[in-house]
Amino acid sequence: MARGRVDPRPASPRLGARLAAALGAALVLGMAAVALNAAQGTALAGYGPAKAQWLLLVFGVAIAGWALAVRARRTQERLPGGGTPTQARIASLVVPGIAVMAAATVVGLAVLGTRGLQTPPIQPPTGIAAPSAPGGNAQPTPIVTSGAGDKQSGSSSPIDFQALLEGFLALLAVALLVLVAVFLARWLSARRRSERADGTVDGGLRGDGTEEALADAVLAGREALADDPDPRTAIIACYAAMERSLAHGGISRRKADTPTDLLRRAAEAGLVQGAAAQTLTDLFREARYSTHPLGEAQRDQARTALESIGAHLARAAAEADARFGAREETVI
Amino acid sequence: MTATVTDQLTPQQAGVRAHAVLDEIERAVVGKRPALELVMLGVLAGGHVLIEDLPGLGKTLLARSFSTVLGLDFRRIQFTPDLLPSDVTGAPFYDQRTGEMVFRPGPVFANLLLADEINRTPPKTQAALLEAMAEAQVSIDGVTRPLPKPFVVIATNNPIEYEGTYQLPEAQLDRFLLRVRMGYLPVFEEAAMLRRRLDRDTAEAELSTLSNPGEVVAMRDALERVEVNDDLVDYIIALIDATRRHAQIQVGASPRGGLALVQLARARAVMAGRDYVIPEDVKAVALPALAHRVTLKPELWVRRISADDVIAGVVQSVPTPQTTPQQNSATGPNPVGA
Repeated sequence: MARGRVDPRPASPRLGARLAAALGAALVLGMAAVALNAAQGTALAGYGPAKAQWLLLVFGVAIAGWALAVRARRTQERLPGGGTPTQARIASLVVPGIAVMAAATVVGLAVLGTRGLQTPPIQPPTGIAAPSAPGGNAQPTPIVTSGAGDKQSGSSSPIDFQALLEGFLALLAVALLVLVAVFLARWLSARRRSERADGTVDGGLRGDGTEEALADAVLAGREALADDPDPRTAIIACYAAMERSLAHGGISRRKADTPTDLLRRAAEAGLVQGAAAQTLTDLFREARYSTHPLGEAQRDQARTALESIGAHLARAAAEADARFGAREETVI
Repeated sequence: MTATVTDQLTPQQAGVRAHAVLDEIERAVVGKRPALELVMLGVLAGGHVLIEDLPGLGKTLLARSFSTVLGLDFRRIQFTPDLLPSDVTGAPFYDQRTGEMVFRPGPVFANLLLADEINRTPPKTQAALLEAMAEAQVSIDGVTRPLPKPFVVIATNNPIEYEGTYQLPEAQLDRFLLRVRMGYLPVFEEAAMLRRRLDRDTAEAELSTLSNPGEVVAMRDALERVEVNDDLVDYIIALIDATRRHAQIQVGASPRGGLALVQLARARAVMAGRDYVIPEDVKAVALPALAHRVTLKPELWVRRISADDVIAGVVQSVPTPQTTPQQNSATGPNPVGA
């Protein structure tokens, strides 16, 4: 039941996230192009408002690229055993790919930013040649400035591009902020959920009937120990009960897990403590993989261990319930 | 060489003695307990060990320490490009006094043979040694001469050099029971090693002999009393089969790989004082037992994916036996002969 709530929508959010990321990238590129005046020399020639801040943009792109690369690397590390060959092949290209793209963008932005600054628009010589009045020396300057002013107003269209651009950029900035906020919120909630699913936080127990499941599992183990005439099958059944109760606590046995692997993960999650679980695991391995005659002493050891484990699990469940109970409702 | 007759050892007794031997060796080879344990598994399982690592990591010291503490007759061959097969196995020579051809045994007639830098000699000489390893006997001039028991080869292989080396072919690598990598010591342990050297007057720690060839054979025999559950046999077969079906592996592990896995798992059980194998034993020895037996597809070389990575992935993907035994094999543990 815990699993059902952990990944409710496996496919659609990933598609949505990809579309949003593509849209975001297109927006950022558009903004950068407009802001840096990529259209210089075309009909829309003029200086973009962010021309002076090109360094800031470069930093932004570099940081975003780095963050993406780190995230991709983390995702790869989470794949068990490197994933399938195809996954491994794609994974090996992701980080270099992102790095190359980020580097190319940074270099492109730097080129755009620096080239424009080196070649300021040249004033037409006609403005200087115009003053020829013999009367005064103060005349040429106003003519030159008026000439430059004419050129600015003449080259641009009647629409005020400067104001339009600023408005557009402001809108983009707001959209980006909202996008980042939404992503951050989703990432945080997904992370919290996955941590709970893995059982890596603090017991990882839920207050939604887990105690009953735990009690059932421990009871089943106890009954197996009491009823079964053969200590071997009784101990195996008892260990199976512990395994079930761990699964209810969020640590289920993976297909390639050995009893030691399972025990280690359960101990890391704080589900089991002390020597009881180790004792039960040792007894199980002996019962499962040997042909030794097992006696009542081993059965008693298993019983003691199971009681201890059951008590610890119940205590952990109660603590986790007290701590996470309120937050659980908001997650749903 | 004094082979004393030793009583049969139980797996628990063999395990205690093996640990005592390792403790003594660890006085000389510091901080390499995992590598030492793997070599010990190889010795107990009756196989030969390939140590692959960079120079100066203590490979020779390790081999010599084993021979000293186990009380084995030790020989060393430094493999060079001009070494001939007869330099390894021995050759007949003319005795002037008797006027007959007399066989002069080569260094291979020892309990523990250190084959240093085995990849420096041409395949002809390598083959002479590897044949002796597989058959535990040498045939010269139509006469077959058995090698002493136990016969253990610890071969070292330098993985970084390509000039003037002859890489061991896959078929010959298969004859090594396991491959061990030693690796560098952690910094603090390396410092401790240097300090220990400064505190000591001699170049090397003097080790005492704790065993003898007869006892080593008895320890090996103890492995036969370790049982392997049917489900674990199936698990081992599944691991071997997974290497043959893996998309990145061109040639999977041989049946000899399966036998190696069984014997090494049994040896690990002995070291733990158990007379039954558990899945942890198989999982722990899968990498050293199988990684050198598989051939990866050529394109993986470019991507720097090693056989170790692929085998580790295989071990993480093959299901271990179920918690509750299957109905038809509930009473199935039986010893597996190798």
